[in-house]
Amino acid sequence: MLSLNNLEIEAIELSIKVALNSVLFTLPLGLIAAWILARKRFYGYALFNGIVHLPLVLPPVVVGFFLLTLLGRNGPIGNILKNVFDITLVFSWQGAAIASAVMSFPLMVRAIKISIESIDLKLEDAARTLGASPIKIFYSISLPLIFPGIISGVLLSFARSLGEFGATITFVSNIPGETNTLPLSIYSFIQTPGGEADALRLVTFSIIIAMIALVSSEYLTSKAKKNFEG
Amino acid sequence: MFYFVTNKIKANEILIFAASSLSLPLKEIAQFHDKSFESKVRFSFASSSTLARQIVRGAPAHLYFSANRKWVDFLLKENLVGQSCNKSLLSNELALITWRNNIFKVNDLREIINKVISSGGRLAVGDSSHVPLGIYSKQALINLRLWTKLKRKTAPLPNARSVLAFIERNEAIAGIVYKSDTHLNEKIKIIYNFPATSHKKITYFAVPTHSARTKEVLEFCNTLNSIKAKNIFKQHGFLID
Amino acid sequence: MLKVSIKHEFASLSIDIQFEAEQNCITALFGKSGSGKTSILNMISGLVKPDYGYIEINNTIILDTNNNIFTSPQKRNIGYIFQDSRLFPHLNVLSNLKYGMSAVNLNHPIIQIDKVINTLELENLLNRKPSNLSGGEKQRVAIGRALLTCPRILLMDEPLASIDAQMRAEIFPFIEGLQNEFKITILYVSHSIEEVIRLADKMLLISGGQKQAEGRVEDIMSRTDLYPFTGRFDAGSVISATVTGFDKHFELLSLSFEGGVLLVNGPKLDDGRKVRTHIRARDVSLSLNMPPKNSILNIFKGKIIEINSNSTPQVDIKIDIGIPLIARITRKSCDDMNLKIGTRVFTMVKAVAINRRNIGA
Repeated sequence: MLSLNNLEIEAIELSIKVALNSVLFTLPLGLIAAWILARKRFYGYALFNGIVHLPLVLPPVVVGFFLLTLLGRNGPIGNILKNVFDITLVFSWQGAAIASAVMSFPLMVRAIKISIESIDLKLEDAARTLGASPIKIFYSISLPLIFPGIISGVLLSFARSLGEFGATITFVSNIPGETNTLPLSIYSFIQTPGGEADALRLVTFSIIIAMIALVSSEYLTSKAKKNFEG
Repeated sequence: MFYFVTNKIKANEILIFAASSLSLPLKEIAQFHDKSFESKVRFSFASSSTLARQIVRGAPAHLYFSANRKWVDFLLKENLVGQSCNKSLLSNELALITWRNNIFKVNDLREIINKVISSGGRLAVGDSSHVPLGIYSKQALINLRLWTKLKRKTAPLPNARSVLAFIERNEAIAGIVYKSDTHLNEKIKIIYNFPATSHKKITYFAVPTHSARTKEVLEFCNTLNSIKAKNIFKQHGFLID
Repeated sequence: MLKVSIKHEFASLSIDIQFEAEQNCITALFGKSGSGKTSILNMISGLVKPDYGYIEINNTIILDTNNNIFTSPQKRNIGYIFQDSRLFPHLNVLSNLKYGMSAVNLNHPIIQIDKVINTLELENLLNRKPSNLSGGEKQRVAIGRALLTCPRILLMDEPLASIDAQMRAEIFPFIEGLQNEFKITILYVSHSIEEVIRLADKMLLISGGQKQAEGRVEDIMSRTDLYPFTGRFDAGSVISATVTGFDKHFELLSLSFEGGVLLVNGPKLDDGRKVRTHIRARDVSLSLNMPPKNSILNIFKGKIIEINSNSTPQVDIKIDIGIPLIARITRKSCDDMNLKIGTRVFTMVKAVAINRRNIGA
């Protein structure tokens, strides 16, 4: 009974596409934010920290409305996107990816920040005495050492995006083929009397995908950690 | 959600699960009901499907008030509720709305729809797969032979609030909501009223669950059927006869 | 030539020091823990910026607070071997060694990687990761890594402190070999007088962030007024000597010095080899008359030139046997024998510690 119809296959492909793109957004920005929070102290640090973690504490629907106001065609930023770059995020899978990216951003930042904080700064001092510039220190020492944290952040982000519902449905609606990700499809089934069986099928697939992500990340993390031995 | 509710329902209180579209009028009605009676009324407003599923799972609601025919029938079939207790017909209509500053030729539906399509925008509607608002909207569009044209141009949303949000920000060039949802909203305007014949009647049923407190439920039903309550519904844009 | 003049206030220590270190020499910074030695190295390397300072290496100014000159650590070309080796855990030994090689300063002779690997015996370790190395092996890699940046000077911060005694003995030759093979200036921090005597040409006594004395190791060690710093237990004389012979039958080395010849148990060394010996004051006894046949091989005649009594039951006596030799006896014996400055005595040396070091410049 696990065979899927076209609409369901579409939902699965869309979910994976949206989740992967969401990670693409959060990774570089998350890395920068994590570095700033881990290494720098400045006036306004607490405010910056609060803003980064806001999506963790706000109801997803609130975040969705906020994105609508900001990034909609008539919003302050959405306006520029539309008029200058001809990009419309509302009603598109890219918008869904942005909704997921915003909701999972704090998770990415936290995972990487913890990793950065655990770097022994003395290693960086040693690298400096060996003639390494700050950029070289970053890519030759820091980055390899925080790699397990990055993997962890990517997994958390991906998993969060797979399950993202409230912000997505509020910001980009449930358009078949564009934005009907797995969570939105599951929700639709549950809301219909007798739709439980269909919902269960999709739930099973969500779990399978999440488990694959989890297992591969465990594998990658342990492989990265083995890099420090042997 | 359940354990919050069970802890707080007192001996002479009743819990009413009602569709979100009814929240404003019901709150007003409850206010004057509580003044006259010992029994107090508490509400849980959400989507009809969510509430119905909660009742199926044993939520301690005493009354289910919704326009979602499918779910009401389902609950009746499962013998979880009795026949409806509101004597007069409470119904709603559909309205096509747009942002207040948009220019449309009012009441010419075909021209409006053509403009929607040619502008490359979308029509904000309830999700027709499960949201009552969406189901009725789809019926109306089918009957007016516009569904095929518009099928791929809709933005299916989970509730009326979301549809209003999109229209208020002019993100969707037009949308369909209940007439009662347009009440007192100054950011939007109605550009077309769907004829009542274009869709199945949007009728609300207040069905009592098979629980205790029959006395208190009866008291509230009587209030619902009072003239004062009918006026409140009318004021909020509902139809009542 | 390294010229250093720095002043800095730390929370618990004030540093105020000026000194110079000669080219191609090993200069030791010796002092107790907490005396500021590591901080001084950190400021020379640029990892810490002093409140006031002037540092010049081979006529290049790398720090001048008066004129706002501060060269960043990565541009100073100063090698630093840390107490905790600080090898990069995610790179194998070869990659660690090569890490700083692109920052080679072309004004200085290129140090070849093969030579470094050979000298430090790293051939079998190249593919290993640091977590698979012993403490001694890690330090050897750390030394190699720093060397391969062709540094102008090498800073070593108690590199042997976290290594057990046996391994320490194995590494000494490698550090001594650095002088011979690579002709490099080394600043060596230590709180072990043994290490200093074994390795250094010159030494600076550091205490409380300040320089208490500076000079050749032999001279500093023979100054009884510095015992509070050099440590009473190991106090004694450091004597440079030359190998003049080896008795195969008894396995005795003959070491010739200004006061005569020392006969010492030891492995065969080539004639002409220069060594440094350490004679602890507690291993030297005195006699007013030539002792009759006894088991001590090394007896020298001399004249007392200094008597140092302090609050302990013992007395340190400096005797001129051609060069100064220090003996530690009880105050009672000193009184009983009526020892005074000018008294002629026989000194009996019970034990001599030697090393195979080549004394350089």
